[in-house]
Amino acid sequence: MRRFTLPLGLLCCLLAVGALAFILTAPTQVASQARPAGAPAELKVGFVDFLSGPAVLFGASGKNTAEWLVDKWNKEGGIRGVKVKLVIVDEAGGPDKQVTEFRRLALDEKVDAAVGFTSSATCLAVAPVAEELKVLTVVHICGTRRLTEERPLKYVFRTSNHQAADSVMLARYVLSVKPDVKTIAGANEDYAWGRDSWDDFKGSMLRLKPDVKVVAELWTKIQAGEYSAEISKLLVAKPDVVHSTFWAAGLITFVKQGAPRGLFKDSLVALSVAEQSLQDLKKEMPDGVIVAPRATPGYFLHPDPAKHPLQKEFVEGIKARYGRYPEYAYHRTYQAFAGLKVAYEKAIDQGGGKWPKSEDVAKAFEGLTWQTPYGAITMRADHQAVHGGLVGLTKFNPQYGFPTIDRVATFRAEEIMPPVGVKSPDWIGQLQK
Amino acid sequence: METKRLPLAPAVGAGLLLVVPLVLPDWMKFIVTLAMAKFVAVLAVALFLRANLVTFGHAMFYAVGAYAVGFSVKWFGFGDVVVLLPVGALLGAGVAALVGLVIARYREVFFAMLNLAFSMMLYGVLLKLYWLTGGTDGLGVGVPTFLGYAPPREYLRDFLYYTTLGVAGIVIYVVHRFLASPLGFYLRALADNEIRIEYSGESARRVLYHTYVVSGALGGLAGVLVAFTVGHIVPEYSFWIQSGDFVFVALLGGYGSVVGPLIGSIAFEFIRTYASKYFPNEWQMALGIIMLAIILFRPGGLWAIYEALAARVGRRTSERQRA
Amino acid sequence: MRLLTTIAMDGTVFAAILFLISVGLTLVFGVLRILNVAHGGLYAFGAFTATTLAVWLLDLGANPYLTYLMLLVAAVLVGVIAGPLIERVFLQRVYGRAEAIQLLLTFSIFLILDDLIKLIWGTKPLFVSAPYTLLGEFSLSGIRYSWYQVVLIAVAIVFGGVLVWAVRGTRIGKIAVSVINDREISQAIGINVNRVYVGSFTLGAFCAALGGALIAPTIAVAPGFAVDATVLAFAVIAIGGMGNLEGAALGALIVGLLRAMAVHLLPEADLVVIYVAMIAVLVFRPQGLFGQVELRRI
Repeated sequence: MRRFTLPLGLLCCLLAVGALAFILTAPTQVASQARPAGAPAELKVGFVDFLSGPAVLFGASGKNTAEWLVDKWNKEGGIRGVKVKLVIVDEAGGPDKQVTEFRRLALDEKVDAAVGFTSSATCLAVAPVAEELKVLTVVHICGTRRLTEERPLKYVFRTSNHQAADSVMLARYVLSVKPDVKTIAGANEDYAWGRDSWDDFKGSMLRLKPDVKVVAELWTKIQAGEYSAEISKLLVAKPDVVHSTFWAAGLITFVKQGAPRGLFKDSLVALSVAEQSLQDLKKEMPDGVIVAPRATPGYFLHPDPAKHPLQKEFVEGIKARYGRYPEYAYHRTYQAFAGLKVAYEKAIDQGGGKWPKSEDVAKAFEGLTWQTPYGAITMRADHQAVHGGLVGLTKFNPQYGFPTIDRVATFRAEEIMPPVGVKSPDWIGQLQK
Repeated sequence: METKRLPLAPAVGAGLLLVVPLVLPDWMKFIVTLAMAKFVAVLAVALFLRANLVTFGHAMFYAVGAYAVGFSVKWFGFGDVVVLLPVGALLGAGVAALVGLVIARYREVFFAMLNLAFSMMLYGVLLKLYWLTGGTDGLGVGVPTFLGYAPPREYLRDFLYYTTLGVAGIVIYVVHRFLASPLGFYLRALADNEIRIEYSGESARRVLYHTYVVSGALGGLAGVLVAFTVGHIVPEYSFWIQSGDFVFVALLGGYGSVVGPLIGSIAFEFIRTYASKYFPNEWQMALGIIMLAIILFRPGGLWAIYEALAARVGRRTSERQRA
Repeated sequence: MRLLTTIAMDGTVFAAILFLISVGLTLVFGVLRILNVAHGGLYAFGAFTATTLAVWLLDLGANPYLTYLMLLVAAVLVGVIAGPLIERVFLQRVYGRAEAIQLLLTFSIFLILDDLIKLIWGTKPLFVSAPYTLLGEFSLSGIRYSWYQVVLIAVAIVFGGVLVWAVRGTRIGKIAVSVINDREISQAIGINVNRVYVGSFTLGAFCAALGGALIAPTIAVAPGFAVDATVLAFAVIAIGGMGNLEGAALGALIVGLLRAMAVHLLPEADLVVIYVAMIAVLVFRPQGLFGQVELRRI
């Protein structure tokens, strides 16, 4: 009798284990049936953003979104059955270090694609190397217009508006809120981002209202952290409007040092990146400051999550996992990853179910339209995606404990971004009201 | 009997370096190229360490060399490695000749401070003259040519590697001869007793000045090489932390020998790359601890450790032979 | 006219900050003859500790005025813990050795401290502004300033005064001066030189930490922010004379005013003027404005 029960018992155990194994691996099995021919075990995507230093406030947002999205996709089976693996790299250390890091991503980690690059300095330095090493690179936030306006790109894409859009949008909004503005001043960081943004804002203002005078142009080091003298200079000059593209910790310090001294009462201050820091500044951000999530067509309250499912899923998902409402850095990271995924899917379909090479994905990316929580965006042939923008004035919202955006105005892509083939300064010189 | 082992090791080392591009993966090739290029600047600093002088400003010449390449590419579209190497060296030497007029009078901490001030002044200029230098964005250097020849993309890195190796080899030879020359001996004497130098009819200031000019040329050379290797240069090339890194590597490798800094530079680049990959927030601390260990226990650096090992092995073989 | 008062005010505020950063560095150099590159790390430690303590206090709901006490407590903590630790464990092993070695030792400690901060506090910037905004603002020539900035100036003056009195007027101070001038003779007449060294370094560390603690409420405290401060401190003490307290004050004033002038009048030059001044002083008066010429000992 024992001879029968033991093998039977063993057989049952084996069957149970086998069934369990089948159940646990079923999703991958099902997916692997649909895996494209020649697909790698996993899609390695490098993500480069600031993980340390004053700009970590951006990098944290980017990293959170990347992880949230990739986890979601991997749970749903990955990109046509291929799971995505993130290789996260710190963008700190300066452009030359980042060039070296990019080479490491490409040659040592052997990533299939790279996403990220917040700083204008980094993306300008890395783009030629990406082209040299033929690595598909999706820039998510870096704002310098030079990335896509100076030379043709094959492997590098940018999935969000560049700085010209922010500046033109702010100029238009300033004129709508304060049509009698007479004097303007700029407080920006001394590199491509600050310089070009101010040039575009100044150019737009002077084009739309030629009698405006520039009374001060201030330049600080990136993330300088100490602005007392600059604030004094602005208080002396007393411009009607102050334009600033300070971001992350530098912006927060600027507001903290400036608000008590009445800078925001004396002048109407337009901060192109401030929406990102509203949840950090909370009560310290005064009311009536022009803020924008740069030129992005929404933020966590707009469009209304109740009416838009992607927005609802995103806002609730991020808030639940990270305790924070997604701001523009979250959103632009979403734009980048979503675009990459859709591009891969299109390339797979176009290739008849074969796993595509980087060149194929790049070709699929051009002209691609994909969905984001704030609507659809389209990648142009010059590797620059365009979308609309949202801007408004801060107003403290007791329901959230930080300021939300009041007197919202939205602008269409054509109103704020130059068309293909036209350089921003030229386009701004011909701006129509 | 022991000394026979010593020349073997450098030969083996040189042989290894010669075959690196054929054996090691692309990424490591890049690191070794970078290490060899920076080694030239480290050697410049090591010269002064022998004279018990710390310079926290040699990044200045390094930046001069790098920006020579940057401006050449930006204004003339000219990026030839073979031509720009001597240009960088000359510019570095030129700047050193000017700055050295002021600096050669000073010793000890004032020497370090003045060097620091000049290099930080250059940093400030590079940073602020945005329209000229690109400010913090820096300058891209593009694809280099070699005496007009543009190698195919797959071999570009190899060309750079062997060029750097060649320059490093030449530099080692030149510095070796320099140190064997009267100037070289006087340099070491600067550390011991400056008055004796004056008594023997030489001017300490002249010794320092000449060494300074030579070190400036070396710094410029390194700057050119690194500019082409990395492909992008920034004002931080003139920052005091960069100078600190050079001094650090000189100590790590052992500034008593000419080859020590090379070992130190390669070790440093490898540690930095792999440590920062796995321990992004701890690798600086690891370097600091290594440095402390070297300073406290083995100030001769890695080279001294090697020499001690070689001596012990040599002694054991000769004992065995005698027995 | 308004421009002059603005420059003067901004310059003096900078000078106060610079003095607080530099006085510890010059003190340590004066007594130990070591240029402590790790000074910046202690400054950063002070800032981080102060911010953490202040935030913790505010979270407990205590009286916000107590945050000022927290700033002081942070400085004392850092000074008293880091000072003797660094001096006894590391510095004392390199006394008498080549200067290059000593400098590199402190540079290594700087690297270690920098990463320690990242390990303890993470990489995100920290903020606490209650101490900065609590005292309110005032107007000078129509420009508003925060009273806290005036407090910084007052603290710098008082603190400098206390230090000068301590060095000149007290017995401990005179002992320290004796050690500065001749270590061997001091030992010969029975002074415990080791204790003077530890004490001086601890005081220097406390000064660095106090500087950081007082700055913290005005800025975003993030890893790496000490790197710029360190080199500014070098410039200040080189100009004023290394090892000289009044020199540090004068150097700080010069650098602060120069920077304020540059920002208001010629912003392109605001970094360069400081180093130009440093070079100018070192070339014409290498020992600094108040420094003493060192006789070469054979």
